[in-house]
Amino acid sequence: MAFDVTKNVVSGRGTREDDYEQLRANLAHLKTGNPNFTWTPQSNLHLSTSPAGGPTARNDHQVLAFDKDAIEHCFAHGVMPESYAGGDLTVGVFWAAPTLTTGSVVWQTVFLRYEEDVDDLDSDTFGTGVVVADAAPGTAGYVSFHGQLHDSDAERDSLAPGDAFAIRVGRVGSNGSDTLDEDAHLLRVTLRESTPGAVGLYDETDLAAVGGSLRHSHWQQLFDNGQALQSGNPWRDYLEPQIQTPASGGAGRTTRGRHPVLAFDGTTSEVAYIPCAVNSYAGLPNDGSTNGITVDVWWCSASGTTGAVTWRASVELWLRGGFGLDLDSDAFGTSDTETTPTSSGSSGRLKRTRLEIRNTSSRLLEELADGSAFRIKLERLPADAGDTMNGIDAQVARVVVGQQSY
Amino acid sequence: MVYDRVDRVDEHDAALATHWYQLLKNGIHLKQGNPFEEWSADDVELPSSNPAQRHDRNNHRVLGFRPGTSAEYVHCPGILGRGYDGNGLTVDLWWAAETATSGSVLWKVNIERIHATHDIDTNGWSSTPGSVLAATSTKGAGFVQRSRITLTDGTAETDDLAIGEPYRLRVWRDGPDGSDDMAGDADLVRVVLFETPE
Repeated sequence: MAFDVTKNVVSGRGTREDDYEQLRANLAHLKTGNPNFTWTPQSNLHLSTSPAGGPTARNDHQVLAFDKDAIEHCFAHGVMPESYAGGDLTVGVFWAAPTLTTGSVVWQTVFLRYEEDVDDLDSDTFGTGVVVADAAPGTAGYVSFHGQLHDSDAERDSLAPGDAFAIRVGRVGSNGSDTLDEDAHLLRVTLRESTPGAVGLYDETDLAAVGGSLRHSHWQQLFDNGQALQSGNPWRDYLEPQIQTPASGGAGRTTRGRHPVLAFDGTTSEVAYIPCAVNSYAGLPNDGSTNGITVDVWWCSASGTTGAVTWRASVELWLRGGFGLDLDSDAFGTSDTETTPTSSGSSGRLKRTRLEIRNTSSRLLEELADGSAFRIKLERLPADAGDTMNGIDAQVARVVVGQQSY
Repeated sequence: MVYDRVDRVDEHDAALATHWYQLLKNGIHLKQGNPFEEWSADDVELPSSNPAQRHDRNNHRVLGFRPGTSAEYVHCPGILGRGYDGNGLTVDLWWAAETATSGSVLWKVNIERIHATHDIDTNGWSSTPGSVLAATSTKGAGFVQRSRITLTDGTAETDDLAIGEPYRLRVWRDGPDGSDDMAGDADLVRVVLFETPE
């Protein structure tokens, strides 16, 4: 059932069950449409030992060039939202041939799931790849919109809501079905849930299955479903290339394995800045609780398997009381500080520290709305008594900013 | 409309219709949460001709648009999200004056829809840009302000962009226009695109 606004809802109307079913279907429709990611060549992660060329400009479109005789890759990245129902995933590959109008390209897409305290930046373990040949458009310069269906758990690398992930997109030029005799230009990669899967947080509460008459619990479930969709979702994840560092006192830029990371010193406090915007804001809870913004820091130790790291995140809104922030002077306000032990398994294993910037006495978060721009300052505090990974860098692979669930 | 939990629901409540309608509006709000794209100075693409100047300002990465005889541009690549409900698009430009404390900047945006029969070797920018003449912040240089441009669905302003289609959003300062009279650079710090609320 498609999304239907169905505005004419009145008390006492004889078709209340119909209205209920439509509202339920509306939420299910919304859920099916998530996740909804888009990546561009500039957001490519350079993780591969055989990377695609670029990005380079083609008529001012940034493209990645995949060779016809090799196996070359690029990487997209994200975090699965809480609204992911566990269904099949479709990776969209938007590409064009430089000049030719015949021949096919064999694309392979593979998921790489990052699970806290399990996956190791030093040894990536990919899921099962999906390989599909796609014919070049019949006119040079036209773009092929091509979908790769990941319809098994192995092909999704067991992705679940909240998991950070990467998608490796490759051209298998060595495959016999790859017959396009020139580069293939990649313009976009997308990810969406193609069919909803098993019920998780989200519960459709099928009216027909419970006897066909409305009860209090049905409406309550609709509210709960809406909450599950709206709050607790990550707005965006940020990797090293998207995070800004100051010229002095900033975290260093380096790689761990093939992963770009930000290295925060184990002796001197260093900072990084994350440019953010609010997406699908659920508003503050109306029960008076102070839930606000979550900042998940995915990090590992540069070496060793003992000790802990203390992180602090603070927020700077760019519009308060109708007036804008002065770019030339900082205005970071409410913050949170958390300490997390490093992985005891191996130094490359990722830990996730969740910082919660709550709507406390400054009432800072009351001014958030969809589209609000703000900045997060992330600091490591090696002088804090809880930070015992003395003299050893903490390497940040990813920062995820979103709304705290309620 | 802000999402509202309205979490006390009683089948026999006299305000049942209100609850129902709020559920309905919540669904609309959720749907309108898509599409959503944000571009920082590092996310945009710089064209080969007349690009804005990417640089740092007090640890903010910004795009400097100069005044004068040539308009300067950035391109923001995206795909229209599946949740789009046909209400048109809103583009928020977050920017600050480099040094000026008076005058106005003429911002313009237009869309290039990359549909199945669009040749990417030929530009297809919409001929009807959206625009806003934005005065410098009354608080002075460096103060951020949000300038909003709305693009109407089903018109040349959105280039008939459809769900799932790639696009480029072009943002420029129309310095040659007589109404753009702010001296010095306009520093763009963020571009946000979302569905216009109902």
